[in-house]
Amino acid sequence: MTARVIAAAPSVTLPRPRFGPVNWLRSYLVVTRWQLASLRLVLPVLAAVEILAGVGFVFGFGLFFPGSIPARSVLYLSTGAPVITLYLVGLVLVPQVVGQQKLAQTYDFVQSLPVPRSAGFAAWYSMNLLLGVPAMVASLVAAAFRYNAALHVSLAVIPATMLICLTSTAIGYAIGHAIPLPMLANTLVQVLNFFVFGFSAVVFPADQLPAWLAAVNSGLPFEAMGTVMRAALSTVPVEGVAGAYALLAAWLAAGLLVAAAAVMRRG
Amino acid sequence: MDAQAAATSLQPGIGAPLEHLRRGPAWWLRSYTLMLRFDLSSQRAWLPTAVALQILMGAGMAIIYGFYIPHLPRVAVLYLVTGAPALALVPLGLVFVPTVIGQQRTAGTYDFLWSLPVPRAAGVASTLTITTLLAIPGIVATLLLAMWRYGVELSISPMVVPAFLLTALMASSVGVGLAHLIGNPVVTNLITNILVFVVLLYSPIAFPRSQFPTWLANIHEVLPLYHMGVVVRASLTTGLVTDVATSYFVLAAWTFAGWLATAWVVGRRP
Repeated sequence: MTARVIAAAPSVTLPRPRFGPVNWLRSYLVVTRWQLASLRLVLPVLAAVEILAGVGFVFGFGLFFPGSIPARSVLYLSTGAPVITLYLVGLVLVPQVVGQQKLAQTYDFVQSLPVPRSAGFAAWYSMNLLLGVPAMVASLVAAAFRYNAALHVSLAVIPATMLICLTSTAIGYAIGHAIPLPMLANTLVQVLNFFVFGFSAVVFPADQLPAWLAAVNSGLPFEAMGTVMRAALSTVPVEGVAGAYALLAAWLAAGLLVAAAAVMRRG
Repeated sequence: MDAQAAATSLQPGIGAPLEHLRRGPAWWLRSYTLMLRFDLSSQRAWLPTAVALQILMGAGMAIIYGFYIPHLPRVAVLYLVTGAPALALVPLGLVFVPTVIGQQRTAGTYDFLWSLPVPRAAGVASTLTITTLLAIPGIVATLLLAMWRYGVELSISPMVVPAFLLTALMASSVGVGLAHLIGNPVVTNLITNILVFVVLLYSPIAFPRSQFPTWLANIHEVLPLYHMGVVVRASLTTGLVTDVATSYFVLAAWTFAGWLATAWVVGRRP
């Protein structure tokens, strides 16, 4: 059998070239299938947890207020909760899975697969969108139902959602791949989560923060995510939307650069 | 005990009496102190993390609630500050203790620990002692931070000692019970993570229960979370809390339930 294959080799055509858009697209599809298959047991749980977290956060938020919730808080909550759901999946999932690969020592094997590294990133991005968007919609429905939030969905929601998810995926990708110790990466992600959840102006206006914390936030991407989402979902005039898009683009570029440096490095 | 004594005690027929009888209160006490030393030295790398986690969650949440709500009335501020110590106990009981025991299972040292020649109750008592005492610096620091952030003056009564000790013991006992009861560390991890989320959003620890829908308030009658807040608040303020006895009773019952669950798992022979 082996001998015949070897003997036949000279007449066999060369394998497909490993470059060009067709190869990239094919690699992207293959990696997406690979990831869906390898995570098939956790994906349904993750999707459910995402939806529960988004809806649970929206419902729980109202309990904090002594009386009825002010309209301004409702606006920030209902447009901030979708951001939290998108951001969570982007930031948490990649470092978790990459960390497990590193611990199980399958990381190098996965990185050695003959596909472009950018196709791997694109596959992650698609999967994060797949997990994040249903949770985002669920949290919006919950806010509209629970607080009668006056939402006005414009077409800008599409670029806003895509960019928020892309930027958080890039940051999560950078953390997961660039930090060699999985424990450290996980701790960093948890601290970041806590920071976004409580100390950045996503679900509440920045003027409710102390001035110095608001200043720190104005350079980080999280408040900007809230701004672009709020502009896309409400008729209330939102300031600094263009600046927020620019800041997100800058963080996206930074995340991609760090991630690229980490995955392209040859050990 | 030196090597020679150990050698002779192995040959009781020769005439030397057995070194120790493995029963009785003196033996139990000695096992307990040995296990305390064992636990302290094996967990010492973790202890600062645990205190940091408590302060982060307790003081952090108290500060975060203040960001969420634009204009806090004075009573709400008082609730927030006096709820902070109880909030700080939640990650200890629900995250730290189950994580440590889950890691023992993953690392395979769990069975080794139970094979040590000490009464199993002494081992459990040592764990509970360490986690309860460990909680105290965290909750005091949390309280001080919250007081500083909101500029609140409290009237601290001697009841603060039993209140802090019982709530800390309750949180540790439930955590230990939970960790032993659920065999799989991954499941424990998932449950504790969800619980922390639910607790921080849906428990009347840092704000009045009257803000809750009736059905949820009723659930919190039997869960320990609301009562932790009540007991701590009663020892730090005057006039805010009326019925402390019920809360002490509920906390004691949960502590006991944690012990029962632990005893059932630990006492079982596979």
